[in-house]
Amino acid sequence: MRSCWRVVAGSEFVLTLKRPLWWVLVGLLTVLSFGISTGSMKVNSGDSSVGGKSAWVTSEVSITYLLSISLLLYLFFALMTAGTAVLRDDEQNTLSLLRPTRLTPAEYVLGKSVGVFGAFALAGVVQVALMVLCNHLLHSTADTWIGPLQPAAYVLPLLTLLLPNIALFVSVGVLTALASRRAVAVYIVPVFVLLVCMFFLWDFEPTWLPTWLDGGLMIADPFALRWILETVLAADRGVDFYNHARLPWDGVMVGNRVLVVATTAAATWLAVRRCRSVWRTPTASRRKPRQAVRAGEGRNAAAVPAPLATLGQRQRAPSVWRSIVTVATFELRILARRPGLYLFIPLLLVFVVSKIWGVEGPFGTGLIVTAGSLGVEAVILLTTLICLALLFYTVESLHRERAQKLDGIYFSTPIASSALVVGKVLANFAVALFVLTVLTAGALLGLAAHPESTAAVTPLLLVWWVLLLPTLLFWIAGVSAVYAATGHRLVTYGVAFGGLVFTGYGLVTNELSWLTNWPLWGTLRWSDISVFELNRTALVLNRVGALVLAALLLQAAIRVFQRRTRDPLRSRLGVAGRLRAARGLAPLGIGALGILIALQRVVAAGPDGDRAKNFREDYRKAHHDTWLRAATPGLADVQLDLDLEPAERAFRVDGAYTVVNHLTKPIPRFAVTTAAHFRDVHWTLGGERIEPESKAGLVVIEPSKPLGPGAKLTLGFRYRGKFPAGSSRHGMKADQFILPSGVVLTSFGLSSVGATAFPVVGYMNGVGVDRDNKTEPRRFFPGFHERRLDPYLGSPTTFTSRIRITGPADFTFNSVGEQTSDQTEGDRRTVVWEAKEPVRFFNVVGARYQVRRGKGVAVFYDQRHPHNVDVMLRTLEAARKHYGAWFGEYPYAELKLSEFPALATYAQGFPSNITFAEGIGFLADGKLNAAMGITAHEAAHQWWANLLTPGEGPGAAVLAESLSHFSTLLLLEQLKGPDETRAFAKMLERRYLKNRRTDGERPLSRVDGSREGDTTLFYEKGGMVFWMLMHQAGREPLLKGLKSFIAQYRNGPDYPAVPDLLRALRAHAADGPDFDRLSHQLFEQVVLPEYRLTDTTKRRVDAGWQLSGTLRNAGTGDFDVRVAAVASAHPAAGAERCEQSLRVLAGATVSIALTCPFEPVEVVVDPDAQVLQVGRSAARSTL
Amino acid sequence: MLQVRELGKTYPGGVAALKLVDLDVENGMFGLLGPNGAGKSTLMKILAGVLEPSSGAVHLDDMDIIADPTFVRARLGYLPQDFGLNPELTGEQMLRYLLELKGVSAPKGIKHLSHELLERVNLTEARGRKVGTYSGGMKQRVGIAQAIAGDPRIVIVDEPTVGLDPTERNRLYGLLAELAIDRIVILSTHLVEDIAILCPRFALIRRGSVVADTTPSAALAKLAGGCFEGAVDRGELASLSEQHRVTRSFLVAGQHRVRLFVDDGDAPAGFTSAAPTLEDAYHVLLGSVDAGVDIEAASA
Repeated sequence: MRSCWRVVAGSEFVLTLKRPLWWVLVGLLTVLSFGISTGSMKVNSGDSSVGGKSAWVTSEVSITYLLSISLLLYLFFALMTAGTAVLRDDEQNTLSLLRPTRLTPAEYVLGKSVGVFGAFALAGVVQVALMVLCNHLLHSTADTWIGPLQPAAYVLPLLTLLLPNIALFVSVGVLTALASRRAVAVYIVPVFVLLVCMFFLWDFEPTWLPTWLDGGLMIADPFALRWILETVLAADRGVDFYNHARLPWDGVMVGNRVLVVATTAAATWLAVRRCRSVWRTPTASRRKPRQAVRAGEGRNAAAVPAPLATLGQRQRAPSVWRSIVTVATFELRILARRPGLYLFIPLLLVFVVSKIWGVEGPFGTGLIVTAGSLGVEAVILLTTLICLALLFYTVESLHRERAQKLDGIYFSTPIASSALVVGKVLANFAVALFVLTVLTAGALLGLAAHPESTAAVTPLLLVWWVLLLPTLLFWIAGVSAVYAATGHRLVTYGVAFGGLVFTGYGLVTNELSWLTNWPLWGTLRWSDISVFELNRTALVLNRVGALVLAALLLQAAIRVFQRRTRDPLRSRLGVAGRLRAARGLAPLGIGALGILIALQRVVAAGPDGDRAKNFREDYRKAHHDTWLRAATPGLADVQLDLDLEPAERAFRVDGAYTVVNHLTKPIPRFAVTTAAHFRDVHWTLGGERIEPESKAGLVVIEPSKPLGPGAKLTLGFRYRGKFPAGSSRHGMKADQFILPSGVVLTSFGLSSVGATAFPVVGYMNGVGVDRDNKTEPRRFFPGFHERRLDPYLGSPTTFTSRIRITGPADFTFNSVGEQTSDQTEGDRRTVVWEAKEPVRFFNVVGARYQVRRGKGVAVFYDQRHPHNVDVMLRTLEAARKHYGAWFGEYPYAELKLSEFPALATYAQGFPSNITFAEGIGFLADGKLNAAMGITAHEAAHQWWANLLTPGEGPGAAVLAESLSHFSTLLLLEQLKGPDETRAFAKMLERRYLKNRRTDGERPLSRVDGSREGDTTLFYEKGGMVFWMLMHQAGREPLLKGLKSFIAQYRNGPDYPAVPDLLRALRAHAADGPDFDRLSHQLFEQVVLPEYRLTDTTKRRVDAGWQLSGTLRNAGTGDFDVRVAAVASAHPAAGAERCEQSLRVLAGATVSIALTCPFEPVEVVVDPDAQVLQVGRSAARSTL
Repeated sequence: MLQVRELGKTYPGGVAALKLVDLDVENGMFGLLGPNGAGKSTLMKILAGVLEPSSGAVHLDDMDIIADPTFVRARLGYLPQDFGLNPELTGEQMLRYLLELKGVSAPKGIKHLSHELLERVNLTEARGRKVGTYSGGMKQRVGIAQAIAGDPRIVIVDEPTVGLDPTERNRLYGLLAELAIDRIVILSTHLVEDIAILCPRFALIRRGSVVADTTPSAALAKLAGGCFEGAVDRGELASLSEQHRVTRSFLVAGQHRVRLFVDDGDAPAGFTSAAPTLEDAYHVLLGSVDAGVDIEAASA
């Protein structure tokens, strides 16, 4: 005879395989496996250039990582299936049937657990088989992300990670069901686990986190994701490691797995105990009666009651509205008793409040969170989690009568089906409102409690209520419709999960659009200044569409809700019947369709629409070969008359470019790039009206005679337009715009909205480039800098400018140069900006500003963002003063800094007119001198990009961004001293190590921004490299060299590259050969020291304390590094320390010998963070 | 009047639960008697509008309630055979909720009415306690309270006496009898006793078909002079049931006694004539009974 548990296990295994949920999971795993095999999700390593090494999705590290992530699916599916397997027995009184049998509680729990585990283990095996199939049969090693088939790479993670975790989830599911005997608990537990992991186990990594606690968190993480991220993926270890190395198991990972197994055993043991208790309790009674109830309880049985007729009862079908209120009130009463809700809401509150304190801004600095940015920042997670909770509660509501066997009575009452469904939907919607109310109140309290944030109700109401509620209503209606159509809880969960997963996939793959993005994931950008102005039409249509679709789904749910079990023979509908059934849905269906069509039209008219896209593609196809290398004149003067109508997003431009042939040969004709939004364009040449050849966004200007070397010509133009037109496909950012709240226009041409605001002389390489036709950047071979280089930004020649701007009277408009006129007539204000000091590019920025002025500087800001204005003003003053002293005098009368709406996150340092997105600087928090650092960096661009414009070619960004970061360090040191500078330098080092791509990393002189990981090279690494160079080669020679470098190249016509800079610096170096050694390592090689301190000891001697030890450079690079003994673990500036300087060659070991007058407690390598290195935490030793 | 015409129900899988059932039910108590699985509950569910038939028609006061189940729902008191209640609510809360859903009103308000109804089913003392703490019988009484609430045109009670002790069963009989004065009350049961006590008319249903639509007196009249009772050895039971239509076998003082029906009045030796009971009629109408299976204690 088979053991009882085997019988239970066998039947549960078969039953689970028959469940739609299992098949939904397998479907999702299939999609996931295929998606992974396309290389869209792999370890972030390798060289992104064509032919570069790529991380394999088939390596053991990669598969372990991917399986760890896919465990999230198993968490929900396996845990819920296991829980419902027990609950189903409870609800269907099967337990009472099993109780008298010889089956014991232990056998029951074991059988259920083994059955469900077996089914999901099979799903795991199927997943791995699918991965093998997709990776090695559908793809091959010809794809760079596919490596050779290594069976162990698949089998080991399956055995060590996937299967133990499935067992864990199953045992927890069974325990939860037996302990709570409520379906909602089974659904809440995985959400709870997810929340704890997301907000704590995976994300909690403050700088002060001790190693032991970090290790504890790794062990506690049931997904082992924290261990994988920190141990394997945190710092790029190179593609060879990821492709070939075995997973580096250590004690922590072993502990993690042991804990998973132990927890599984404990949960099963507890489940058995709980089951024994349940076994003794009548199934129908969820709790023990407080007191036995006797049958004859109550009135004397012999008493004769008054006839029923005396009660005067009447019965009439209740009105729909009254019924809705009745049902909704009842449902709310039940939902309010759900303990999960009171666990769920505090967790969401913790998440929301943590966002107030923990948002990262530019350069890794903290951000002051505003109510609106908090609202938008939380949208994805809030919608996901609230939707998950509402899924459980809505299905529970709709299924309640069936689960409790009340359906016979309930569905035979005269209440209208519409009231029944709507009442339940409204109750769940009320839950959503309650959650949002608590979150809104919590967020406001959190914002009020934050020292720098301000509590504002309106933005939160707008984002979480006006924008989010249609999502939640749509979701509840959709869930209701699926349940009504299927009458099946698990099918509903499967479909709903599938919907969420596919939406998430669309978000990750950038496939979502306003038409499909029902939860508004990734589309919203908050700006206190410009509240959803950019894509407002699309946003409104999307929200109205969600509401109409919610109504449609609700109507469909009411129609198909089965309160009377249908007979398949009788209810079989023909085509005519189906049409009749659909007719009732037609009005809302047509309404929804109309909104979708309108939405499509708005998007089609926008920068991602077919018209604009075709325009850009045609531009490239028509002109690339002809005009890419064609001779193009520079600008000598720019005259612009801008008439701005921000409320209409419109402008009129009347202007003239004086072009000059800066080349040595005559230019017979040249190209001018326009844009699709230019309307009524008129051209003049030398004052004469012309009709130039115009095709696909490019006009050809052909003077009557070729433009000779040095000759000038005035090209006039006039046009009008809306900028940007329409709405983007999914709410992309905009770096240039004309909006009711603000204006940002630049002469750069290529903007994120895909078009230029002003005519651009020449062909714009990059327009019409997409993923399919993108090519690697132009290669520059050694010695490229020997010939004359064009600037990497702006006109090849400098020019003067006069920009006249007319706009609303309450706007302030800033541009390059100095303001020479400011007049207001009626409701229109006209200002004139003239740049007499030549520039290479210009911009226009305008808004309703407050202004604070300092000595030769001004900050224009939105009245809601005064937090950092003082700091920024002082930094600008200091920058003018100290940068002027270090790099050369600042030529403009006033250095302005203007805020613009955060429709894009960037800052740009145009000559005398810096622009900051509101999230940058203005909202930087007080940590790490963020506002000062960002302002110092952008101010430095006045020298390193404007006065010294790098030449086109590799390393150009080093001369702009690296030197601006270096300047920031210098200014910080000047203003804040060594401690805060050290902290900033360490932050740069951390970001570099975190974001670098080891395999694709090129020497700084070769970095061109084309590869993944390049950005951190020319920001963080570049800044630190100059900082390092200064401390290795001397401060004064370096500053002298930089000053002379600017002076040499300031006015062109040749623009410099990194070798030119090094040559200039070497001329001032104290030791030329030593400078060559350093600069070769820092700019021509990729080196990174890794210092290891060992055998450190101290002993008392007559002169104080003698310290010894060894220092090894396990990395690369030969640099001088200081080793210091300090008297306390966290020495303040000027604290006592003794130190020595050592040069430790790569791979070499040197001895340390220090004698200190005090008792040292710690030895620190590079105590002032002057040598960029890896593994700094290991480069110290406690004595 | 309730008219059932050619009502058929075939479940997915091909199980025919009802086969062309015809019934006419007028005001008063109407019993639906049949063994387990005969199709009684299926018929009740169809009449209550919670299950769609495969074929046929049902009219209540000339309204087609298959096409428009809302008509019957507004005039219905329904107690299903197997039902549950929300364990988190008190008996009173549960009943009031159901009364509100049914659109029941009363001059003194629904709260007072619920108290009165709970008193009728003897749950006054327990009305403030959670339903989860109720015994099966108490839950059954909450179900009865909601079924008799309002002023239903038709009351359908499916096995209402299950789980009730004799006192409560009698109380229920009284309530149903009172209701049946001026409305249709359909009582589905497999207990002949329920029919005998309450129903002036009943239908006997077996394997989805109505095998008799009669009154107790007419059923008994058919058996007049044909019923006999006698003592037998246990070993004789099988052969006796092969030769005669055994209607009942039971124990009296440890001795097996058998009742049987003989068409021609030629009883086996040792058997004496006995007055027919409705249970005899039930078994005779159904066709046969398995001897030896249905042995009852003498006290039953």
